[in-house]
Amino acid sequence: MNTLPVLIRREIWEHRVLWMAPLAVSVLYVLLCFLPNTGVNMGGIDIAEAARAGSPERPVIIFTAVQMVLMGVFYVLMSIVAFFYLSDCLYAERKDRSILFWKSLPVSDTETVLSKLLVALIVLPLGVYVLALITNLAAFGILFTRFGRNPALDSFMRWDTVAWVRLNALLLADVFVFALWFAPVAACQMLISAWAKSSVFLWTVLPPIVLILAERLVFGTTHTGQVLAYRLGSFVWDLAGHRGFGLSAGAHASGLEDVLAGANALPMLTWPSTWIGVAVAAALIFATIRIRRYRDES
Amino acid sequence: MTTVIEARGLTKSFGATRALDGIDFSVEAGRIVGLIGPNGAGKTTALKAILGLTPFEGDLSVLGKNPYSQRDAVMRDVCFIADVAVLPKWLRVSQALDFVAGVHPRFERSRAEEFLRKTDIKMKSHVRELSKGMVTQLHLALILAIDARLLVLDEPTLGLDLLYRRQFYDTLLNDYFDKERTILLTTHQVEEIENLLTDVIFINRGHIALDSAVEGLATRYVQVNVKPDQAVRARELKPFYEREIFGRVAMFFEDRSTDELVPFGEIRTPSIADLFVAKMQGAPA
Repeated sequence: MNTLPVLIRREIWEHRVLWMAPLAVSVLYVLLCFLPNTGVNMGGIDIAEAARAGSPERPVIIFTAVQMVLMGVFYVLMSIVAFFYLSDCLYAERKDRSILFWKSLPVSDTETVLSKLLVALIVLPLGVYVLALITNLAAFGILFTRFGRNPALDSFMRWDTVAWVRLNALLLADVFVFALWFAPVAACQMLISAWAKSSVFLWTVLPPIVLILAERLVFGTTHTGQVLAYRLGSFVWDLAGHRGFGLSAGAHASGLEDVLAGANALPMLTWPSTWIGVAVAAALIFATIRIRRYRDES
Repeated sequence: MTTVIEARGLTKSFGATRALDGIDFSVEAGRIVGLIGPNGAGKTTALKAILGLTPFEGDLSVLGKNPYSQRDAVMRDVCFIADVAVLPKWLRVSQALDFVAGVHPRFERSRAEEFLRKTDIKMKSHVRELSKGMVTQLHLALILAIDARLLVLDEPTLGLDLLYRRQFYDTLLNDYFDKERTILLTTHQVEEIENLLTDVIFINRGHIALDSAVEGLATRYVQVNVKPDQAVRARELKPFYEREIFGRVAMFFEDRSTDELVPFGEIRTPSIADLFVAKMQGAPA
C-alpha cells in the first residue's frame, strides 16, 4: 500500500505555514501589480531611462529578470519556512504526545522520516516553484493588460515565450539540484528535531556558533564558519562563472544568455561537495530514523 | 487454538529496579484479557514491550513475531489505544479518517463513519474542539473500523464519565469482538469490566500474581463470610486474605472444597475486584 501521499498530506495539515506563507507572498505580489505607479518604477529601474538605454535584447532580459526577482523572494521565504518546519517536524509530535498515535498505525519510522525529508526538500520547493510561476503569469497578465498600450512598457519589458520556457525549465531543474545540495542541512535539522528533549531552536543554532568561536579561540582559524557559510549561501559564487546565482548574476549580465546562466544550478551536479553532502545526509537520516524508532517515549 | 501472545521470562529493568521480573504468560486468540495491577506494577511496561515500543530481555512473541525487532510487521495486525496516545489537536475528524484509510490496508472507512454518525462528533471538527469523551469516541471509531487480530487498550477510559465508559465497553463487546479477535486491556476500574473479561492476569511488583480464565476462578477461589465465633477455626484452613465487613469476617480461600467451608458461613464467589484486593494485600511484601 502506497502510504506516501497521505504521509505528505499529514505534513501539510499539521504545518500550515508550509503553504500559508508562500501563498501570502504570492497574493501580496499580485496586489502590488495593481498599485498606480507599478511598471513606471519597477525594481528601482526608471522605465523611461530604461527605454532610452534599451538595446534590442533588453526588454526580454528585464522580463526574465523580473521572474528571477520573485523567485529570489520566494527562495528567501522558503528557507525560513523550511528552517522552522524542519525544526518542528519530529519534535511537535513528541511535544503534543501524538507520537504513540502515529506509531499505533502500520507506518514504519523510515517511511515517516523520509516523508518529512521529502516535504522539506521536494514538495515545498516544487509547490513554491509552481506558485511563483503562476504568480508571475498573473502579474504579467495584469501589467500587460494595464499598460499594454503604453509603448514605454514594450520597450522596457516584453513577453518572450522561448525565454520563459528556458528560464522555467532551469528553475524546475534547480529544485532538484538544490534538494541534493541542502539535503545535509535538512537532515541535520531533522536529527536535532528527533533528538532534542526541548529547545530545538537553541540546539540547532548554538552548536555551530560555539564551534565557530571555539575554533577561532583555539586554532585562530575559521574553517567551520567557512564550510557552513559555503553550504548555506556562498556556494552561489561558484556558479555562472563566479558571478553567482539569480539576479546577482543577472546584474552583471551583458546578454540574455548570461542572465539565464545565472539561473542554472546544474553545474553543481559535477561538484564533489554536492555528493559528499548527499552521503552525509544519508548517514544523518539513518540516525534520525533509529532515534524515532528506538527512543522510549514515556 | 492459536496463541497470540507468548511471554517466557519477560524481563525489563530500569536501572536497579525490575519493572518486569521474568514473567511467563500467554494469551490465546478470541479472549478478552484484563491485565490488572496496582500503579507501578509493570502493566504499562508489559504492554509497551508487546507493542514493540521498548526493548526487553527474555522471550516475547506477538502473533509469532518479535515485537521489537519486527515491529513494522507486527503493527499490521495489532491496534492500540494507549492512555498517552493522544490524538493531535490540529487534526480534523475527516483528516483522521483520511489518514488511517491511507495507511491501513484493513481499515473500513464506512464502519468508522457509521459509528461517528451515532455520536455528536462532526466531520469538520478539530480534535481540539472535542471533549475528552468525544476524542475517545473518535479514537474508538478509528480502531473499531480496523480489522486487527490483537487490540491493546491501556486505560482507554481514563478520565471519562460513567456514561462514556459504559458506552465504550458496550461498543467494544457488541460491535468489535469476535472469536477471531483478541483484546488485552488494563484499567483501574476493575468492577466495570468484570463481566467483559474471559481471562485475568494480576501483576504486582513485576511478578504475575494470578493468571486464570474467569470461569476457572469460581472453582479455585472462595469467599466465606465467616461468623465471628467461627473465625479462629476457619483460620486454621489458612485463608490468604481476610477483612471485616458488617461484623463478619470475609475470608478468601484458594483451592479449598466448598464442603470444608460451608459450616463457617455464607459462601460466595469473590468478584474480580475483591479477588484483586485480596491477592494484592494478601501477597507477601
